[in-house]
Amino acid sequence: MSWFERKIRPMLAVRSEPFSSGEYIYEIKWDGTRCIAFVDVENSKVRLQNRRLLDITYRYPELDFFKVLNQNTVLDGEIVVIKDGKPSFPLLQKREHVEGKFKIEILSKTIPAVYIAFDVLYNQKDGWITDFELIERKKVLDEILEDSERIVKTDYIEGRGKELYQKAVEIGLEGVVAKKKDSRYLIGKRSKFWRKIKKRNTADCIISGWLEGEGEREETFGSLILAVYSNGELRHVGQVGTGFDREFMKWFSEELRKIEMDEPHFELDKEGVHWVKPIYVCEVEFLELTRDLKLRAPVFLRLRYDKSPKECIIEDLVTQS
Amino acid sequence: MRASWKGSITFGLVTIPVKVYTAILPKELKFSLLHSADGGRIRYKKVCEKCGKEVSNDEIVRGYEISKNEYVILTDEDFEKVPLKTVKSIEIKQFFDPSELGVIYYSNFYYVSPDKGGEKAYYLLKRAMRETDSMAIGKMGMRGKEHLVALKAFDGGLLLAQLHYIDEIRNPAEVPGWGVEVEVSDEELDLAKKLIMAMKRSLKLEEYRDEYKEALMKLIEAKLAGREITVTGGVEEVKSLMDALKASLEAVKGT
Repeated sequence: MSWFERKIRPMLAVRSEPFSSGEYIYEIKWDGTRCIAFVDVENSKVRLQNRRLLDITYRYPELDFFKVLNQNTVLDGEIVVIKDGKPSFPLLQKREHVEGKFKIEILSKTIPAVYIAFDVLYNQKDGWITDFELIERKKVLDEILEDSERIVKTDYIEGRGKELYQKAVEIGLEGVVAKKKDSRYLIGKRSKFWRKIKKRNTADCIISGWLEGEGEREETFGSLILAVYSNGELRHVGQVGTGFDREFMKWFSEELRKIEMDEPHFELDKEGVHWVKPIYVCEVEFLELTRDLKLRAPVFLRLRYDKSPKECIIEDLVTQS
Repeated sequence: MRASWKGSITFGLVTIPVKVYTAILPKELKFSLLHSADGGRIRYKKVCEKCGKEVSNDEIVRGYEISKNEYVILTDEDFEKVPLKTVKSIEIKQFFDPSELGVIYYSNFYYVSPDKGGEKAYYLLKRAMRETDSMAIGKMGMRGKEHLVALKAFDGGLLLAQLHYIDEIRNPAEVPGWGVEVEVSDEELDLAKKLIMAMKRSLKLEEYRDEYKEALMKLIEAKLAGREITVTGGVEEVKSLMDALKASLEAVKGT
């Protein structure tokens, strides 16, 4: 298999409290869609792959990788949509659930995305450089990537993690990521070399059904039934009934009705329960986990197309949040 | 991309778990109907002609019209009496030579991919069909109908073609002027043949595009261009965010 076709599961971070260490660099935690970019400048080909290894190239025709690179490269980064100076989930979502070339073409002009590169895994001179130390890879990234209108490399600072985290949260960002300077790129691994430090408790849950709504929500849904996998079976972790915008509710309630199923996933003592095939993953914010591992006061943030339901496991819910 | 159908292909004693995906992309240009006065969506309501009331789905039954206003009514229970036997599997009944299947029988195309555990048998079937230049035929239940389907090795996988049953195809002899032979001279025929041969070249389907659709798309784009449409920021905003952060860090350092 050529370098261009290689499937790469990105390296992942564990959750951590704020800390400052000279052994780490710190960068902004950009919240969007994780994306490995394969850029073949010789044949003018780009392949964008998400963390589920799916091809998402067709979704972002505005990302102009040839303008910023003059050699074959594989980058790791995040696709974000910026609104009022900050990444916007709802707008990113609009880009993610549209099919059809023409609509994608229009959205690429009306709500264009930005690719924020933070790592480089391959270049023409050295081949695969996942075994380089992070700080060396950062140097390579600096050398080979020019910023363009839609592609930028992320800045980092050394040592002062606590302060950066505080400032980032003050500005209204999610948090920061700490990365150990001498760490290699561990494909597909969640390791302590990368630590995400964020203010909010968030969890990725599987949407396993919905509860009927009342009044204004009679036509759509009242709340979504959330679950994660525990020993291969769906386990109920709560319902989320806030955080949706109207447009999303309208669209998503139609999608839910397409995947409705009769068989319940688990016992749920509620009225008006509808079960769906467990194929959608959503990210929710919540106050805390209760003792019986339920989410307290969850708020919907976004659908996650880049995460497969199988990845949503109870172990992560406990350790990540 | 979501599978349209999940089940298995069986031939002989082998069962291959598969998923089926539609090969035809949804229409790119679809228009919604809006109320010209206020831009609201036009919705359809199911209304009874007789009493004028709107009816819900559980009040609706299916009727087969045998003559004007005279129906045979079939309820859900009736439909259950005639079960679809082939819902979960496609049983291959026979293989045949592709040239035997006329182009007129093809109706709809799907891609078949192996589901978990079916990779090897899928590959074997695909490769063996390719090397013997054979197609397979069988039946498949999908969306409340029993479809006749053919399988063919195609590109890197298996193509599934929904077929028309033979009684769904109109006899062309019913078409006026069909099959009529007329007296022509050798010269005329020669000339026509020459003309054809002069225009004959290898087919490049990408040269043919839906120009009407493209013109409509241009029109839509032009109408969009009149608006202030870009609502999101670019790289400058990302950079200024990073710069602001750095600056505030410097400020902390200073104190």
